[in-house]
Amino acid sequence: MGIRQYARAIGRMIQSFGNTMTGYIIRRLIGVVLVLMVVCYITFWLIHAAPGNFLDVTRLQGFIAGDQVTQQQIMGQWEDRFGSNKPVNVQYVRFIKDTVTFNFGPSFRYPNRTIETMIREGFPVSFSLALLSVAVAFLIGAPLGILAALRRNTWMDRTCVTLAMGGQCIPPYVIALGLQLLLSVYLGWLPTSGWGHGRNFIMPVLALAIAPIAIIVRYMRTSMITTMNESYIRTAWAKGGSPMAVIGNHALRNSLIPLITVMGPQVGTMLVGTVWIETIYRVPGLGRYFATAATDRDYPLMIASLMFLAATISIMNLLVDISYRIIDPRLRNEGG
Amino acid sequence: MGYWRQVLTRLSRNRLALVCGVFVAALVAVSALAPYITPYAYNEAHLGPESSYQPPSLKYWMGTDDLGRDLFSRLIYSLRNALIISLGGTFLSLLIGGFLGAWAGYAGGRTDFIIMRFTDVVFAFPSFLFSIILVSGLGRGFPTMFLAVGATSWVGMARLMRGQVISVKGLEYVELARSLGASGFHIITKYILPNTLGPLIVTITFSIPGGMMVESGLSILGMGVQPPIPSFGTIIADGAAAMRSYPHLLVFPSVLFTITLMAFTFLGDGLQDALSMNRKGD
Repeated sequence: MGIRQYARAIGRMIQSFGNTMTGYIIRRLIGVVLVLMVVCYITFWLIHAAPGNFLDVTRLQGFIAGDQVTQQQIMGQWEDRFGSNKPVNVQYVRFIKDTVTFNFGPSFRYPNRTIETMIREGFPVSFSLALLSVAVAFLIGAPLGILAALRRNTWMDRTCVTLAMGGQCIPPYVIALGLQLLLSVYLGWLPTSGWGHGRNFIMPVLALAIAPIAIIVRYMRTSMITTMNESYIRTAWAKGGSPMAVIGNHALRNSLIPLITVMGPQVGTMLVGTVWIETIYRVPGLGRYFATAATDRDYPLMIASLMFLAATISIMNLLVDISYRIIDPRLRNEGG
Repeated sequence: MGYWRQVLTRLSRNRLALVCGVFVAALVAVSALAPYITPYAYNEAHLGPESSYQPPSLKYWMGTDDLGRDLFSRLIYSLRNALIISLGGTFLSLLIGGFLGAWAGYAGGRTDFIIMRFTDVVFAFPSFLFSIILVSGLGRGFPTMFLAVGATSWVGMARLMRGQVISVKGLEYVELARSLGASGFHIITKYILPNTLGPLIVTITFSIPGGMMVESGLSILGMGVQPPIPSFGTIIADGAAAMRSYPHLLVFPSVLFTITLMAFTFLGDGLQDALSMNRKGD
């Protein structure tokens, strides 16, 4: 069967689900897998095209970590499996096999550890950083947004909105370094970097949380303003409800729901942010592994961590879209 | 052009956006005239204990770095490079996204469906990670940077273009043109593009700081343009390494970079209000 027939068969299968929720999920899942496979293919192709390798780079950096003989052995193994003497397609199929069986072998820089264990240990670190920062952002951002909405067009509202707009513009790495300068170097309250102690969480989470705080404030404010203008809120006031009852029972609940759509993708964005944050604070998470692997040309680790992070984020964003459809039935009938 | 005059009046009433607009114009002018403005060349090293790690002075406005290079000159050139890269990347994303979006919106039906499902999936993909891979494979030149920036932002362009095309497609004068036998290309360039100009300007204004963040985000990881070509990311990373003893090397670039990003974003926001695209709330 040629590619054309395959495509047609898949197309028929997709169409047979029609415009249902299952059809939507299956279509999106197929899309995610396809994009991951294409990106993976491009990566292998780029590795082929790129000049220099891991040893050249480490030599250039004047940095030799660990045992060079073992590293060369590992590189030899990698060459055997994915080497430049093999066509990209062969490497690619081999890698897909490794991915499916979750068996990537050792990395160049850390020849004594397999990539599976690095992902297993590093991913929970990055993921908990991302989740925590979004949670913190919600706890700070949502009350501020509600306050701004209830005190609309006062100085409080304007300060919140302007600060939020500004906060959204500061990249996480600038915040991270600024916090380091302020909290560790000047005030000496926190260690500049490191991992393992509860205090090590504070700065990374704060640095990541600023941008989502800003987004949540703005979104919460608009959502709250829209809800407060709804007719059922007017009815609740007319029934003589106290401000606590009207705002707490009716307005708050209905304006919190759409917030899920904003916060879900933020977890993915934060996961990407860990690439910088973990590098700056020397956190042994998957984001930092990916960053160093890419600069070092530690190909096995680079591809595996890229695929793992990208798959997680893509699937998480898919879950957000699905939950949005469940919450808002109007979207269900719109094509795709 | 009564419409555009109206937009300008509305923009000039927004004081913050106006200030940011003037500031952005100044930034663009300074980076265009960088070779004439900067007191030193970006890679001009002044070696010796009296030149390296200097605090701000009349001779070196923002001090010097470890090699005795003038920080002010290097920052102006960083700004110039950041602008070039983000504009190049925006142009690229405009080409890819604009084309795909316009095609999807104009063709409709199955073509539209396939293209938009594709953009959905790409939108969910963490494109910055892909940019890192691109740089690690293609090297650290400017064209790679254009690609790295363009790859992260074309999806938004595609969605915008599609929406605009669909909203204009049904208008009577476009149907008239079609019934008179105008080609698709003619309709898109003559009727649809002018109508999408406003939203397009807003999107471009927003995508410039986005591109700058990608560019410096890459170079802070050591994956931006090759040193000694200055970039905010590299300078900030170097400043971070020296922050204990010479905090000005971190503070000046971080503040200038942040102000630049804010100016573009606030200007974009003002433009959006002036074009009354902001339908949410007020």
